[in-house]
Amino acid sequence: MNNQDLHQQLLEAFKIEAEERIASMFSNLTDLEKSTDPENRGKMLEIVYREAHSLKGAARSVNIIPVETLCQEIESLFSKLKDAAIDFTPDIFDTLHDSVGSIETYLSTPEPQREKLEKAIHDLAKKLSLYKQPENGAAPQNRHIEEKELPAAPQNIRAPDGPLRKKKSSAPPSEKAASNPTAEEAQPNRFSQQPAAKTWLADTVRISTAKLDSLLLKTEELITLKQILNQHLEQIQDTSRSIGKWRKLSEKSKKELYEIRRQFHQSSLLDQFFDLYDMNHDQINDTDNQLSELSASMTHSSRILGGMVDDLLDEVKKTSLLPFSTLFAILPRMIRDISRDLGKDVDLEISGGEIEIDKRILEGLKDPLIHLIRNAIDHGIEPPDARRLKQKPPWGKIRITVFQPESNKVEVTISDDGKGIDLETIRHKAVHAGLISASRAAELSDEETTALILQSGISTSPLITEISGRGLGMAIVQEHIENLSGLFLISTDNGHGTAFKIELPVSLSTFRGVIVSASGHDFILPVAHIEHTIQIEPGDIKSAENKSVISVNNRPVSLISLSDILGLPHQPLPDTNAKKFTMPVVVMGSGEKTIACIVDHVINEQEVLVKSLGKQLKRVPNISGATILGNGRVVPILNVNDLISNASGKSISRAMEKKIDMKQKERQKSLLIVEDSFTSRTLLKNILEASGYQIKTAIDGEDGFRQLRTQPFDGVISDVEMPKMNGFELTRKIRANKQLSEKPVILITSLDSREDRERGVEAGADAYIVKSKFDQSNLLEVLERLL
Amino acid sequence: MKTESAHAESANEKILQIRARKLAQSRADENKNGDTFSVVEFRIAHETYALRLQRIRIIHPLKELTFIPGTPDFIKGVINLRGEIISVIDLKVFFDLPDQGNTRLSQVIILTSDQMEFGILADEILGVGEILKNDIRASLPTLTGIRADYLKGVTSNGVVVLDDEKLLTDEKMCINL
Repeated sequence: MNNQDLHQQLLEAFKIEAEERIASMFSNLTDLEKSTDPENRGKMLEIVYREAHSLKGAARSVNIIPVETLCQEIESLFSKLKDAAIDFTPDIFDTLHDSVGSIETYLSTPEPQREKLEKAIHDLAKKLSLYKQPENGAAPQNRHIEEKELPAAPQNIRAPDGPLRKKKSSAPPSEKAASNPTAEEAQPNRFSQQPAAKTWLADTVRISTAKLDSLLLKTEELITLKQILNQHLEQIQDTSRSIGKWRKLSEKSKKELYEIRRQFHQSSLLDQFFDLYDMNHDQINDTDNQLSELSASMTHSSRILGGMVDDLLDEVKKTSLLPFSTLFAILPRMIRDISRDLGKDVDLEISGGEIEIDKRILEGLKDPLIHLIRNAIDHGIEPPDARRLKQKPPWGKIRITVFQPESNKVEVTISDDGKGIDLETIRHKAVHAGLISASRAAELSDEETTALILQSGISTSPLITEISGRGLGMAIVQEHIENLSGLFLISTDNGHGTAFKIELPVSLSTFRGVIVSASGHDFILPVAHIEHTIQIEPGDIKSAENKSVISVNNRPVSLISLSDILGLPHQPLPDTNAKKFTMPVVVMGSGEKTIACIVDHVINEQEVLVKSLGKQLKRVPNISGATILGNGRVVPILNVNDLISNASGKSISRAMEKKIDMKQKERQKSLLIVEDSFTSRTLLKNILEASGYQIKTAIDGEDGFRQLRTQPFDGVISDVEMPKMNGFELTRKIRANKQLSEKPVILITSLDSREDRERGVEAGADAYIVKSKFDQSNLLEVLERLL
Repeated sequence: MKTESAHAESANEKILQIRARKLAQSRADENKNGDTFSVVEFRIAHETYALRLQRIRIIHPLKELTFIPGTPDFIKGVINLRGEIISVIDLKVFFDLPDQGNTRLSQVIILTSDQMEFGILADEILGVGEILKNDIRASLPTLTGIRADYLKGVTSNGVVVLDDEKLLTDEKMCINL
């Protein structure tokens, strides 16, 4: 490697290191400015001091002199601050922020244009060095002592110091120990932790993300291999089964052939044939055994390979997981800058920063997050005066909470305690922008109105500022989040704040998906977005405000059909083996934004590797990409966000309703009731219709037989004593008729004698129910058994 | 199985042929000063079409097509080309030609550029040929309508020469809904 290459490599490494150190300095400076706890301040001071020191050294090693100089000044200023030789003033903080900012700008500027920035850096360095000279002219050391004697001096100025202090501590040790023995005792413990944190770094190696990405991609491809292997295994098992059948067949023919031989007289020709046949049979046996063994060992290997691929992928994925805190590091400074520009006070509170997520998701989340926070400061949080009027604390609060409810799911909530979203304004703007009609606006629920924010052209800010107000933001935020296979939800409480919830998978490229089918096409639904898969009966579908709904966990959820939403041509619903006609329904989404979707089948769940639809299909509604199954078949992946928004306000179509209706009718058994008494006839009809049978009636045997010959029925229920033709005769006629002879016949009668029952059986009735013993469940049971 | 591998073989042959022609052609172009250009000729319904070789990535037998709902009618679906997903179009629908019935779209010609890539369905690949530039007539009265915009013209023996660049850059081809 020549020097040039080495320098280039060093520069690359320096860039990454500098980014981290700059972010750390920013975030600690901001905290330092806010914090009043002396112990915390001491820690933060120490961190900034060390970061400046390290960055200085790194800059020197790649010969970036302006950065080195400025870091030198920051470092020495901090050294003084640590020693409490000088006071913190807001002015110092501003200059420090500017300095770190200018280092960042300098390093992100291409080399040829850096020269212009050098003067600014030089000026800042000079400014910093001026702070070090106490204006009152007192020597630092003296002042140190003086301060200690001043009871009025703010506590936090004497923020506890760090390990560097130990090196210097030879100078004022006795004095320090005497004046503040507890602090001295506490120090070794606290600082002994920091070197430990640094040694952790020694175990790490920097690898370029490009290398890791390609590693991840190649590992992911192994999943396809794993699936192909499983398919081959199935093929082998199929072959094994068919050879097994062959073997049985061969055994059976062997027995038969031996029988033939026994009957024929023995002949040598026949013997020869039998030898051949035996060999053949043995060969089949051998092949069958071999194949069974192969199948067993292949199953074993495939399981091991599958496990190894999964583990490997898991491990490789972990290498590209980063904690959220790496993304959040940029926020403190950003919030400080924006809120200062807007004259607002904003506090940031983060929890769950240690939760890890795919680096690519984190990168993709950066822009939406920045946008949401800008929005929160600009639109959400009120100026201090307005807050005081509302009896809120003058400083607003932005809370970022990261929460991992499941191993492959992370929820990020960004909430503020500002004024919330004024839904009236949104309605008004939406009408104004021509998105909806005024009458429709009046009907919109709060939830639907909130969803309008996601459409382009609506902003609650009356003023278009540099930061926000153009009304494009939320639509873009949603799009970004969708691209990460995430869900984006807004909830607002007028006057009390707004919360944005982002649900994300932990890793991006593969996820568990369920294959569902609609109108003969297969689709994949991400498991992460599926709440339940249930079976519903047509009777479960209720209608509310012109929408079809079903009840899921005692909560109404609007019901749609996947075929309807995707605009697929309707096909007859598939047959189910279940006794009752049910339809599979997938409940998906989250919280208020939940929909239930009728599909034809729910097939299986499997790992899915996401691929794009190619260069031509940039964006297709409801479809976010596709995957390739083990057998090479392409299956589109559904975009749950799209499905949910396209489903809003929709119901299942007439075509779908008709299909359900037809299917239900088709599955209904039809019965003919033959009964001369009007009362009994009506009673029976009502009971049986309520149990889901289709009922026709006849007034006597003759009428009944006529109907039976002209219309199809699944069974007959007949009275015995009737005019014209009684039940026994009817039964006999049915049994004698070629087409009808198999139809179940149930006789219901008041005649309860052994002879009558025998006559019934003689006539060919399948059941004989006595009216006096008659009860519904008895009849229904008999019907269930016979039909 | 047999027919499939035979298909694949013949497709491979075609690709090799195309490559060989391409190489030969680049020299031929230099020599003849661009008087002719090489094309793949193929049949859709009863018409013969031609496409320049330059933008053709590969010709592949059509195996399984996955329908993507929500796309315009001319997008017939997507195919799996060695682990890559590529959309496939039906020119007859795109050109709004009357349905000529009996087509057996069995081959996919994949056109590619940096920004765009899609497959064109064809009934049959007729082979690689040379077309003389001045044999192309700009327009025929029968070739009016939408199709005329995407043609270089028609040769004297009735081969419809498609404009590959126009097809690849046309806005209507890019689906962004």
